[in-house]
Amino acid sequence: MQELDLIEGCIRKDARCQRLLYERFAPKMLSVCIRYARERSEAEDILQDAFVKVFNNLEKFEHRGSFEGWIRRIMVNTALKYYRKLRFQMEQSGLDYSNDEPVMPTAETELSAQDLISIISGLPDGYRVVFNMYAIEGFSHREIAEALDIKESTSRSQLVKARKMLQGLVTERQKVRL
Amino acid sequence: MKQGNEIDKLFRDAVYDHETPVPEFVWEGIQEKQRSFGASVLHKLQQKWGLIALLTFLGLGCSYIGLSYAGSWNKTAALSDVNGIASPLASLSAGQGQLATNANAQKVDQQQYDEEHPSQLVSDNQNQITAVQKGKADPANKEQKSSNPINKRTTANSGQTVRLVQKKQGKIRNNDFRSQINSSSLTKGTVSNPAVKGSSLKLGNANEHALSASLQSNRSDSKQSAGSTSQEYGRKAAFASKRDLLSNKDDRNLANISKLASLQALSIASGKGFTQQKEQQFTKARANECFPELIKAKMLSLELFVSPDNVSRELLTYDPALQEHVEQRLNSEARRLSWSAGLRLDIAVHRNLHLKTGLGYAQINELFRHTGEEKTVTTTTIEETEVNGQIEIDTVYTVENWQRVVETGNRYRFFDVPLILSYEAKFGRLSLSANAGTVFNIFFTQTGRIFSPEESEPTPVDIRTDGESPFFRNFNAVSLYGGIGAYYKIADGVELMAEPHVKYMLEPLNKVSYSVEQRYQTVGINLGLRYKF
Repeated sequence: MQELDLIEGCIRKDARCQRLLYERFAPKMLSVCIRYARERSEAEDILQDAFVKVFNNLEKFEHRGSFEGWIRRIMVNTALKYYRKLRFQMEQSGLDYSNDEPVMPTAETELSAQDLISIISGLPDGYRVVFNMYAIEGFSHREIAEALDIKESTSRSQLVKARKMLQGLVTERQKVRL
Repeated sequence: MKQGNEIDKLFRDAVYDHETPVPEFVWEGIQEKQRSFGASVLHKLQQKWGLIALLTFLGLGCSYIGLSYAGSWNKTAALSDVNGIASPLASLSAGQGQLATNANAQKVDQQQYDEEHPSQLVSDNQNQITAVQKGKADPANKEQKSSNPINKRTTANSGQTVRLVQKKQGKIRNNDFRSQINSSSLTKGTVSNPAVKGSSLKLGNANEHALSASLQSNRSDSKQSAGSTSQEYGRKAAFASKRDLLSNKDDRNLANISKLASLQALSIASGKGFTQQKEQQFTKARANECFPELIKAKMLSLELFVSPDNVSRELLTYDPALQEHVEQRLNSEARRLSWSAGLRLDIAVHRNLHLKTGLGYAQINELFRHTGEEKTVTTTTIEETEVNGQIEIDTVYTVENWQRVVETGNRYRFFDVPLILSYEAKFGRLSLSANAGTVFNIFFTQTGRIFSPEESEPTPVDIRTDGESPFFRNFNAVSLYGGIGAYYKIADGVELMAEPHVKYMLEPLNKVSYSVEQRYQTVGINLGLRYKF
């Protein structure tokens, strides 16, 4: 079924079309959510919420850009919403959300996409979100600052620190492989 | 050592198009959430009950104020405001047009008055005769003239020569008070005054997952294929339960453990390249559509603002003996542009809910102007002049029309502490907020003049007995405040603010001993900056 037919079917609340659309995009979008979430279950929650938004707002899709890009934006926005909620809770409770000890990835024989995702997931929250937005999604620092309600300088410094930490983790992983 | 861009590229190429198998329960969860979408709207409304209650309270308050105005003006129709000071609703009062007296209409063009009533110039009320030697000025008299703030015009008696004896204009200034005595030909005196989900909700989700898992597990006894789904539910429930424990730092170790477990569950899929074309396409498409609802995470902000205020005054009395006095005040006092300024601390108490407090200063400006009755004064001067050894005597009559004009800038100054609840929503660089609350007055002072109720004479309000004004209190309890704020981000942490607002005094400013109720309502716009820490 063509993408356009799928969209129209979903707008008509056709359950079969919704299922097909979900099956087409969910695997890729789950990867996006995993990169932003702190854990797998949170990523699945984000995916659920984001797909509900997709189905409820499909009539707003204007067919200007790619449909996948539109869905991806909803995923990222939903993930950021989770992140901001988390950060607000941390600030309210006086916890420092930026100094989490990173989770060391398990040793693997080669650096696959899964390895790299696990490395990203090991970053502290602030580093992870900024790195994902800047390096993977291609946002500018200004856009990141707007989205996260932080200063641009903070975004830059988080990115530098994230890169440095990733560099160390990748090097360590490569040493294990050797 | 890899450069930053290389690191970015390494990760982007590997993970941008990466796919992860999705467990079946995720789709079931989506279907369930879609079914409960309608119910969630109601749930959101329930979550915002506080805001709804506040808005309802404000609406009822405004209605009450409106009704109070209508009622009060029916009672005091005779006290309508000719200078436009009273409530705007007063203009709707039927009695105003008939009963109002325009003070400006009472002004008399003095020059025209002189021309039309020359006989009155001769009918002296006061006469003064001064002998002046020719070429010899009396030093005392000279000093008196130089300090006399009187403009004089002389008129000769019965066809005699007309001499200009003195022409001087002077003003007595004492702060804002100006007393001026004009001659009959003097022109009119001018006015020169200076949503966070709670833990219970999360636990609810966790329990829900656990229950679903349990149910699914039961079903799986009869369906072999459902076994894997049951495991997924169980895992989901376990993760949700652990997530709910994240309220303290120690429990985050559990989260890290669960994170490792979840990562092991991920399957490896091949990553496709992140092409430049895709990147450009994606960046353009998202430009203006991302982040429709942003949540303020900054805890503290500081707002600094000033506001030009348009103030309406309510002046009422229920004492028939004071109605004439109130009318006199309405005729003699006019509003001027008022202003206020403030410094507010903005504390985010919830994602969208803010509490604002600080210190405010408000100054209400009015003009008191009173023109006294006209008085005619004739001064007779006999001058002796020696011409060729002979002494000639001239008699000069100086006729003056005196009129006392009193102008005072009345100032009412308020030092306030606001306590405002604000609901704020962010739309990109722009934030909008609805603000409502109370303003507590901590100090109220006033300067200027009003008519005395006893003597009908201008009386300073700042002449105090035992440190207190005879008319007004030293503080004015509580005012209601409501406003709509707009903030626009201009730099990191700095926003321009504009907040149209209204403020209404719940209690009048006057003392009980002076039974003329005086209260104000203010409409203004706070303009300033907000700095986020």
